[in-house]
Amino acid sequence: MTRRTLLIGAAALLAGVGLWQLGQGAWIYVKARLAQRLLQRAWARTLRGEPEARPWPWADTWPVARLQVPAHGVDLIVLTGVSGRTLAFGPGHAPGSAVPGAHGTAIVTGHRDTHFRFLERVQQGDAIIVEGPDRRRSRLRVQETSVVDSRTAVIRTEDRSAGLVLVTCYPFDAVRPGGPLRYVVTASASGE
Amino acid sequence: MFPLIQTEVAAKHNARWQRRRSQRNGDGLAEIDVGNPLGHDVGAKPAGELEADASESRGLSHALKTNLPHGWDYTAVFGLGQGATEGPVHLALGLIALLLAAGLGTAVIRAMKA
Repeated sequence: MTRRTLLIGAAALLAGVGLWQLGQGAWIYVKARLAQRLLQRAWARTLRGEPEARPWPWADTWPVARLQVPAHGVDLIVLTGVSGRTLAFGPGHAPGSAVPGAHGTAIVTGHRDTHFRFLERVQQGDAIIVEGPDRRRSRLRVQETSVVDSRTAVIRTEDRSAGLVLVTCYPFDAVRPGGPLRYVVTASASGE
Repeated sequence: MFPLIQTEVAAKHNARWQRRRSQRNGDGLAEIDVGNPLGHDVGAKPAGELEADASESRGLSHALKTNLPHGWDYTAVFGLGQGATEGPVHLALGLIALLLAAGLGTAVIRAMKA
């Protein structure tokens, strides 16, 4: 085998790996977008009264709320649970926190490079509309945006009025996922 | 509203973020006081106290009762690696591999012509 053949083989291998990696990366974003289309249909079934309307037969999650941020053209279906698999399809509602739009503090987590990318542009005072399965719509206002350390940050919850905490990774432009910092947006109905 | 307690490291990142946003928005608030960037809602605690908070949140149930809703798993919300995908890593690796392949291919073609 000549040196030239080896080099051609190496170039072909690198090209193959490169295309595979690009495909893997692109699929993550395509999946995030496509899933939201399917989730809109599942949400419509939820509004018609179907409990735990799964977006596809083998799904281990289902829509619990619809989140809209008109100023940024955002319309997302929130799923139950915050596992990595769930967050690949949409923002996840933390089990144990309040139901979005109801009294109490609801906590919703999302990926900073897909569904929650818009949080980078959210400003204090922006309106967030949360729709529940009972069709009740709550209008909240962004009160604060901040960066916290996930190892020590503690959110004290509010039970008297509807509140929403949106959490994503920080910094937004980091290549590698993970890291201890989180970007937190707090919104409250009392800001109206 | 929902007071957040955070470390000095996060507070620095937060101050930098708020300052960058102010500059980008051109709202004339570039010279904000980085010592207390978030006003009354976010408390900066002494390092010792923060360490105590962190250990309580991780290990002791009574700390969860104090700060979080009953039955709420702290790590389920703030667990590491849940706020971002591997997408950028795949795209960066793919781009690097393709560039290397293109470079290698060009070198082989030049060698063949020579």
